Amino acid sequence: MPRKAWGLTVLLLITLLVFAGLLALSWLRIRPATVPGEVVAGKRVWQKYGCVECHTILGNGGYVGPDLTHVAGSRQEKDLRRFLTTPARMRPHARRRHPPVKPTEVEALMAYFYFLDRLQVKGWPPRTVLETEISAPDPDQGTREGDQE
Amino acid sequence: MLRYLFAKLFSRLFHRQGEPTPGRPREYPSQGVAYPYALAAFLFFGIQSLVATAGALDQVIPDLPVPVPFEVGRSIHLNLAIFWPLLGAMGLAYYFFVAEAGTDLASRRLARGQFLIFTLILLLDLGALSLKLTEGREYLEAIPPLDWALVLASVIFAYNLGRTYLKHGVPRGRPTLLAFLLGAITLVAFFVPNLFFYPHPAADEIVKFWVVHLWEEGSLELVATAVLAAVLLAVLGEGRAAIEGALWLELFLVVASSILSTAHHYYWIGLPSYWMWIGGVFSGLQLVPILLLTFSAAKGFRRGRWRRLDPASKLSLAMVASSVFYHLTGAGLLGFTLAIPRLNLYAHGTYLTSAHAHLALFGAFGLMILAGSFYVLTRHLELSRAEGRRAWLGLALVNLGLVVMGGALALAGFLQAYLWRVVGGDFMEVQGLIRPYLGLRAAGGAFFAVGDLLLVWAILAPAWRQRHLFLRELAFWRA
Repeated sequence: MPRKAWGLTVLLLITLLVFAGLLALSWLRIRPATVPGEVVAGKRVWQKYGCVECHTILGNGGYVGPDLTHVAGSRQEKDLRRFLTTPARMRPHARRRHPPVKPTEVEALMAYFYFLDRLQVKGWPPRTVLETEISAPDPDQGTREGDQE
Repeated sequence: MLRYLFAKLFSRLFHRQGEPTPGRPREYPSQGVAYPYALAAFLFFGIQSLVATAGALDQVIPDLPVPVPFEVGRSIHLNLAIFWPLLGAMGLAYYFFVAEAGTDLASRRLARGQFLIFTLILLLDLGALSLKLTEGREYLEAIPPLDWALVLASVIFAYNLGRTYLKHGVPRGRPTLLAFLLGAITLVAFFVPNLFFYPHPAADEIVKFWVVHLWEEGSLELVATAVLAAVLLAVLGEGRAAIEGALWLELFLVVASSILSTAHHYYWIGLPSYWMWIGGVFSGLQLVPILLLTFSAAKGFRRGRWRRLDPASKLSLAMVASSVFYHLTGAGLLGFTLAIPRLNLYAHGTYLTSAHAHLALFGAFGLMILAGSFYVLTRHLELSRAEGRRAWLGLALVNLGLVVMGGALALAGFLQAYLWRVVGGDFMEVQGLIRPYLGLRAAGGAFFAVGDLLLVWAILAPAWRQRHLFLRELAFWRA
């Protein structure tokens, strides 16, 4: 083989080694072996129903439904359970409904959603203008307190 | 060197039929195995656009009565998006590997058997998905037995190329042969880890992108680049040193950038921050070979002797040009912009990503594989004047559709990122606001589908007239 072929092989091996090393570090951080059994069952339910075709988790999937990475933290649990077992009409459709999930599978799916909600995803999705305004202290409040003093 | 490569490609490859061809390559009987691959790639490409258009319409017309639910249609669309380019790339690799190796394939039976296995996998996959039997992983929805069969087909592919490579007298230092082999081996290597279930969602995403990213921007891009160079080398029979020099440069750049640029898929899945630096830098590096390619192509077009080309060659050339355009805009510029972590924070998970995916698929390799397949098919088939016109109209509509679709998705994505991610509007209300743009996307998709069907019709009609060619190459028991 000519030198260039060896060079390409060496470059490929170096790139793969660097990639593998960085992945190994990431793997140690996420510790996949420690995922609880209920969460694993929930992930299987997620895959069984092909939820990813309409929804995203971690931003990857279909865009016709909302992202569900933090759904457990942003919705009431009882509302979510009710929606999954007795689905409502899907906007903007007049007749089409969300496919129902078996009550026995809802528990596992909820565990999966809670697990996703706790993942450290580097501040994604970003805080929106509305969220920032809601959580910021009311500027008028300080004035009123000052007035009282 | 790339400039030289393209100048030669456009001026010499597409000669007028019947003219004496300098260095016309020897035809090898085993190159015929590529014929059914190329034909099937066109056929499945046609089916994909029909399914996609139905899905796009379903998204903008509430309660549209469709034969399959949206989620099923989308999984079929995504699977076809991976399978038809793979099928076409395998056929082209067989065709040009033989020409470059200067010897027949180690086994034509294996190549034909592989085609039958692969086609059967694809048909069973479409059937299984229609019955809602899914693995539930985006792009990798095929059920495990079909995944294992796909590994078998890919191993046969790599083995057949490898055995041919090791035959006596094969020039083993040729970059084209190495690129094909590297493409074939990495196809298997990147897919095998995806045969297993990963309980952690981040681990699942890590491994998924070894196929979604590394197949498309690594393995298949290697094959597509090698196809381009091998076509040129096979026809010219001269200037090998310069062409091979250009190909080496391409190979080094693809290897250096494609693997580590997978990092731009790892920004927000729960992994450490270093992936953002790596993703930003190496996604930027991916632009270099694309810019070189575009510059060289532009030079080549000026030098090309367009009027002297035969109709089929002009059409192949137009497909190559289209591929370069989308490679630059969709894969290169849009892809690089979206890989910048600060922008990706807002764009990730919006229709901007979808715009990039559609344009990049056809830019990086889709249209190049169609161009190569068209080249292979027209070595066997004679297109009538009407079929030639139909194919031209088809390609024009495909391009129009792709531009409208990509533009509409980008606009929808921009608005979605602003109204939903920045302002904080309700997801479904924002969906309602961007629906006109999604409607435009569906219109673009319809143009694309009509063009696609015209193109497929232009190929299938002469293929039907000469169907004995197809049937002959399907007979896997023949030596």
